[in-house]
Amino acid sequence: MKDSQIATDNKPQGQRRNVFAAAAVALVGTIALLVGGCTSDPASIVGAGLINNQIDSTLISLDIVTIDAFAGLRVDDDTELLQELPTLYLGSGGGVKASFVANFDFSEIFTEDRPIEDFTDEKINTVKLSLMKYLPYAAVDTVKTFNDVGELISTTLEPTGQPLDLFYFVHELDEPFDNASVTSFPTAVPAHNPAPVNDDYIAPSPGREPFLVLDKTTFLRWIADGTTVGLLVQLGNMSAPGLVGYASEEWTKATELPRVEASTIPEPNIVVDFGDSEGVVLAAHNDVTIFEEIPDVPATQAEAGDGFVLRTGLRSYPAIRYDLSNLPDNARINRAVMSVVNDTSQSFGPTFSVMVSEITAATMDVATGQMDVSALSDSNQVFPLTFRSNLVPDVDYVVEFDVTNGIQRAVNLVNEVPRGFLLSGVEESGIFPFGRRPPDVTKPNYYFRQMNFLGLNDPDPANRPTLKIWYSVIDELNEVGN
Amino acid sequence: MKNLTTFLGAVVVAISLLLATTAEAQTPMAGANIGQRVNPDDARMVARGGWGMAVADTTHPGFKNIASLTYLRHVVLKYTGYGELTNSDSDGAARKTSGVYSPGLQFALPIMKNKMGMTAGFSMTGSTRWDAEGSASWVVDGTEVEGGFVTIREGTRFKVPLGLAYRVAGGLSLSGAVNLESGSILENYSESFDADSEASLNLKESKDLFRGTSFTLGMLWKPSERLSLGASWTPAYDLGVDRTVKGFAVTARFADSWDMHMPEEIRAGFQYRFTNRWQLGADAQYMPFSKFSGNDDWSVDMEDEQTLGFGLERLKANERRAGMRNLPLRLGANYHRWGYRVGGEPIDEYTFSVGTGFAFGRNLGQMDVSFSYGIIGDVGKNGAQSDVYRLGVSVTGLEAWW
Repeated sequence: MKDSQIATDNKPQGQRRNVFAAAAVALVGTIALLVGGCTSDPASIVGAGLINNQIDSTLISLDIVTIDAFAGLRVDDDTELLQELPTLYLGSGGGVKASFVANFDFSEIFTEDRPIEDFTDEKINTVKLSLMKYLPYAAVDTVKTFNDVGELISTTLEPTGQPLDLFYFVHELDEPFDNASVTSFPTAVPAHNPAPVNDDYIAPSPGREPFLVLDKTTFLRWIADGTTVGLLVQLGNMSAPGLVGYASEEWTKATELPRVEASTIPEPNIVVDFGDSEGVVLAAHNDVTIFEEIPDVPATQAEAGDGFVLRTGLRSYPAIRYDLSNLPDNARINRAVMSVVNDTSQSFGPTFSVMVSEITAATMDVATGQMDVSALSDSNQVFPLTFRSNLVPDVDYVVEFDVTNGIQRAVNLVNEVPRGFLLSGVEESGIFPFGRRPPDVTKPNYYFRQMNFLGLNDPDPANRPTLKIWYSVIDELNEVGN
Repeated sequence: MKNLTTFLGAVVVAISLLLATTAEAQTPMAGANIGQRVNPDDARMVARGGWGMAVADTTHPGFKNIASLTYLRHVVLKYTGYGELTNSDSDGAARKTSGVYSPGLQFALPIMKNKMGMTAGFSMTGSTRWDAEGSASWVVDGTEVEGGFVTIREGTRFKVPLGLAYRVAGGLSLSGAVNLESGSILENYSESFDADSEASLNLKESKDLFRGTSFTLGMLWKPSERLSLGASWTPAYDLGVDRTVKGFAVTARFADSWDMHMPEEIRAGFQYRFTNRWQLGADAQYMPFSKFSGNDDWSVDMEDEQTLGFGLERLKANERRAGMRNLPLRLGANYHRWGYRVGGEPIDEYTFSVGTGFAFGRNLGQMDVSFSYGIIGDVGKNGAQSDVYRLGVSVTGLEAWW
């Protein structure tokens, strides 16, 4: 069989040069086209309608208010006994009424510079009980105004919204209180002389460091007795409503205090002024807040129907487990947000952060309603999800938490046991500065505060704790072969 | 010179192998249905309008009809690469794409010279490559959420033919081939939402894997030196499909397997040399995709596929001092009705092509080039249209190289 070529001459040197030249041109052309291949336009709308591959449903929303379980879990922590709290409270608010007691040991007041002979009516100028508010409870704030060149032109005191006019009453206890006996709340104030021992109870005191003028005669009696005296400090009925926190003997954070000299004693102390620079200061031997009234924390689902509570300081954390049965199988969870509605008229306390964590059913569904503090750091029981910072209990109305990861895990059946969402309080200092993640929720809270959330059976469903889920559906995932 | 031409051919093959990938973004129509057919024709056939069923060439074999390999006298390796520039229009917008791909690599050897040959190789048969993106909006809780989408479709269907050809008597050759069919389609679709919606990305990914076996019977009849006729028949066959669908952030996935029924395919062609250097030929192809089954989404839009190509060729010559006049010249035209409809209307593709070729030393190989211009679809009918400019390069190496 003959080849298709027409062979007429077998020495085609000239032809081969042409062939080579043409081949080279073709090669260069090909390479040019290849290089040109990098210049495709980016993907655009062209042809979009021809590719039949879309998500069947995009962003369907589902509001879930039905819950499987609720628990108001009191955190069981030995370092969080009443006597261990760094803050003493006075006043009333949110159903809470508090006063505090402090013991002073007058056998320890004398020094070489101030022997017992100096403690006479003539030599003593004034005797005052000194208290120190924490910064979040300061009723006024100093506002400085500067001109265009940065010079200070005025300094004014602006109210912060905290109780301003406070009428302090100091009473002498019938006998020094037993620190170990004050372990529960609510409890009644110890027996005391109804007549105040301070002379300035009729004058309001708005300052950060109130000095309460004590009756000198009474003080001299205490000196003469040389024993321990218990004092009860209360706010009078004419005081502005609200709870106010003061440094206790257990204070630890100087950053929470007003800027004072290093020698200043923050906890309650008696200052004796002799009219010269050699005053005497007697710090409280021990102190504790007396919660005369404090609402019970709803612990069960039935109790939480009208409301539930997130409480710090005396920690009690709510946990909610939602019923996810209305969510279709294999929904692609795009976003899940749990929202709770805060009753700002009842909530109180300084700014803080709220951490939302997943909590296993075993830890949540306990009959005692208590949770050991160790559970908060046990990754087999509690799994931090996210937190909301800068929450003001008496301001923030609706509080939302992004719980997408938790719902995705639940829907994808990652969890071995059902999980709910636990709300726990974290001091802002536990959040900021950034870099400490996740916040250590096991640390005792510095302040006592409470967020009162509207209940599970609130008449307005929009006020109930709600889990809102946005999901998408790929129908094929619900067919065979999963 | 022999070393130079050998080197040149090697460079072409190396560059093509390095740069060629599976088909790049092709045409919007490739994003629909079973995808765009990719013909593994070499540059010579493309230049002639696709005519190649009746090739009976000793040094320049065609692999379109395996029966033609009975005329082999050398071991042969053929590699083809294409560079494409495509301008596509749809939805009132235009997009230019370009890419390089290699539709085939074929090998054949004569078991008995001029009597029996066998072949193996790799041939791309279809591609589904297209991507698109744009803005979109969804109404969520009565509020319009703005965002965008990105959809990507890619994948290739190919076959690995293993064939044997035998000249039974006179000019009649028969062939049989078993084709290992395989391929995949990967579809990725994502929806993104404006940041203020705080929604995260939606993602769906599906993957179809195909595998199966088909058989092709071929015939070449050369009743005279000038005329040859060729035909092939690939009976209907089944492709096994494994589909997996996954959603981002969803543990579950969909997985299923089934058979997809592919219809038979018939090809026929002729070539006729009417002067010493000029010949003409034509090819036809028919694949009744209306008998396709196994994917309901695709079946409803299936259309019987038809191809008709014809061309004219001036054969190469080795006339002393003839220069460029020794070069082969080819031109052709091709009509192809795709196997599925888009926009409810059939897709018609018209291609016009020219080409030439360059022989290697001692006629032991050939490099062919082709340039073609094609129009695919119609914006008015199909909602999309593509103009395709294609440069093809084929290198045929005979046994002197190995």
